Amino acid sequence: MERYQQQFQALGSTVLITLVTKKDLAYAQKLFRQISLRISRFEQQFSRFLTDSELTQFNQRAGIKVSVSQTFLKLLEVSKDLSNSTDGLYNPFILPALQQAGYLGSWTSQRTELAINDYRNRKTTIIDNLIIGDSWAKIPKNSALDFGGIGKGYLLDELSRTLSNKMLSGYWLSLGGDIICAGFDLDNEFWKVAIQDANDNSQIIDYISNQTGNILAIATSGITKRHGIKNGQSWHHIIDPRTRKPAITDILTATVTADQAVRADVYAKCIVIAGAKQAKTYKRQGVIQSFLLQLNSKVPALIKSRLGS
Amino acid sequence: MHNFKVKSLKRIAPDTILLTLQPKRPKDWFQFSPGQYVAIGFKYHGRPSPMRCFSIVSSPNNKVELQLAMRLAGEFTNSIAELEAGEAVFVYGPFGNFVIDEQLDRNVILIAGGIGITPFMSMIRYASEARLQLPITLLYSNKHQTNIPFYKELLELEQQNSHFKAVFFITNGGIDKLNDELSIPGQISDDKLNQLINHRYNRFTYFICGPRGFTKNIKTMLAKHNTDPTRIITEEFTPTSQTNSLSTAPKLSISRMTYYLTGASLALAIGLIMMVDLARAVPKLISVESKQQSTTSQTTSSISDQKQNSTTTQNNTASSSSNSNSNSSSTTQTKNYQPPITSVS
Repeated sequence: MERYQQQFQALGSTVLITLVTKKDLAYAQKLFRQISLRISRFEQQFSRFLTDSELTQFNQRAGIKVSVSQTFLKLLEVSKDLSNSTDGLYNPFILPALQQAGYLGSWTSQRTELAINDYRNRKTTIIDNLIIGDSWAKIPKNSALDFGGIGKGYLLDELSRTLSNKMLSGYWLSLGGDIICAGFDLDNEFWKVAIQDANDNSQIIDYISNQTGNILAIATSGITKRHGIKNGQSWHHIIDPRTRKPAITDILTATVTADQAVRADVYAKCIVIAGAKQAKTYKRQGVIQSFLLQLNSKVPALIKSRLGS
Repeated sequence: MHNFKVKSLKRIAPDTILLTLQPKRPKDWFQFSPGQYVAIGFKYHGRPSPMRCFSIVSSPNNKVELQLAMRLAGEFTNSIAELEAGEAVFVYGPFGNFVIDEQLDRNVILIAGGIGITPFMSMIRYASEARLQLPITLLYSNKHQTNIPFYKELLELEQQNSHFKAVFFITNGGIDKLNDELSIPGQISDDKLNQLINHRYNRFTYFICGPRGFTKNIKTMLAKHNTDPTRIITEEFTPTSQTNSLSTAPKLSISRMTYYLTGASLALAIGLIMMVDLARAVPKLISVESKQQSTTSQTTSSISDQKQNSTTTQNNTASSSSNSNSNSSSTTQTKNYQPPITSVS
């Protein structure tokens, strides 16, 4: 049995792919190429930092019916479903509010053309205003869509489906910290996914395992990464759609496990917005498997459910 | 090559000038990352000068001007100081991987020796403009308190950006003309570094830029405290004497090269860098393939390797007990394996 790993930069973050297989190196190489190609195509299609991406073109034509690709359509449908099931706590129209709060571009996104991707003068609208047709979609004239984390989750799920049909005894994929794993590591060990300490990223506070070998998706959301000060007011990148301002929250980071990466990502974000109580509600409803919350308090504190699958 | 012209030249310290360039046409503008450098040349009495490398000082957000700063320490830089507004400057690049990676570098200490401040100015300006909450601490060493390039601007940036702190070290003479709270007499020593870092060396990523001796000293100090080598990223430069190719032009020759990066000759460096950058632009499996053909183990300490866009490692336990070459290789590769860590996405 051999373990192969590849790392590269895409989607504005680090991508890590790890495969465990009895097959030879050439086989792993083939899969790596397949995955990196898919990620590259996804980025070309959905990055709002690329002026010719389908997403940018779509946002440029807000207010009119626009023909979209099947993948775009699927992502819109998933976004709408999750927005409805979270009572609007997840909202793909949040981009203008995020930019108004102060987040215009990431350090690594030198491709950002602010003149084109500046949506500060547009408005955050409700999900009902997203109209999805057979092969087209329409958003209000003064709005803009961003798939942000949900896009990474969606892509992870798709890649996981691809890998589950391959001759692998285990794999894990990480897109900028969102992870999906399945099967086993060398020597039939469970995959152990470490959770960073929100106050000190060099420290690990806990681990999550896929103890049955089943697919396990893990996402962490929080207010510790993209944040800053605008006009003397601090901001972070988790926007509460109800107030259209950075969420006032008791949570520093929320780590969530689910059977799908797209769910893990969305619910982790919603928990940060709605607070610790909401995590327990989601757990009771069965939409997430487990959670670990690092609280925004003077004394470092944790709330966690049973981690792992 | 990008065609630029001189917009202005300004003396920002007794022996340091700030060269501001403008693209001749919009298409001559190029994207770069804070910390990268360019090679420039110009026409000197009608003949092309050699090319020399300088870090970009301006922020990538400033899309109308390209700024470079240089110490006047030889004929090349002194000739630049004689350029007039509107004169042509040829720019190649950008080059280099001396850039902050948002995913990896979440608490940054920039350590500059003298004119080694230049790449950091671009980083700090950009971070302040983009209102990033990336904690940045600058440790800036100079010989004299009256000769600190960008001193005032750094104080202003500190006021604007609450996540940026600067500490000035003055190796010769007093510090009475500087802000007391931010200035320390003497070199950046082990003790002072300890006080500033509070013994938590592996909490930070260190970017070091300065003369070779300076860089080496800082690296030694960090290594002494078991700092993870992947957290130390350096860029060296040093004065040197190399005869340039204009010796056939009497009185017009520029005989000293005053600045070089990575120690190689410029032409070779540019060629190599372009090839490396090109290779890094496409995810490849070169490292695995080369491992199969060679028993050379993959180093984990090389910063350039760590900064590559695409790397591949293989962990082979099946062969590790039966083949000494594989065993040796496998040990190194196991170190390279990165276990899964979930972080804020």
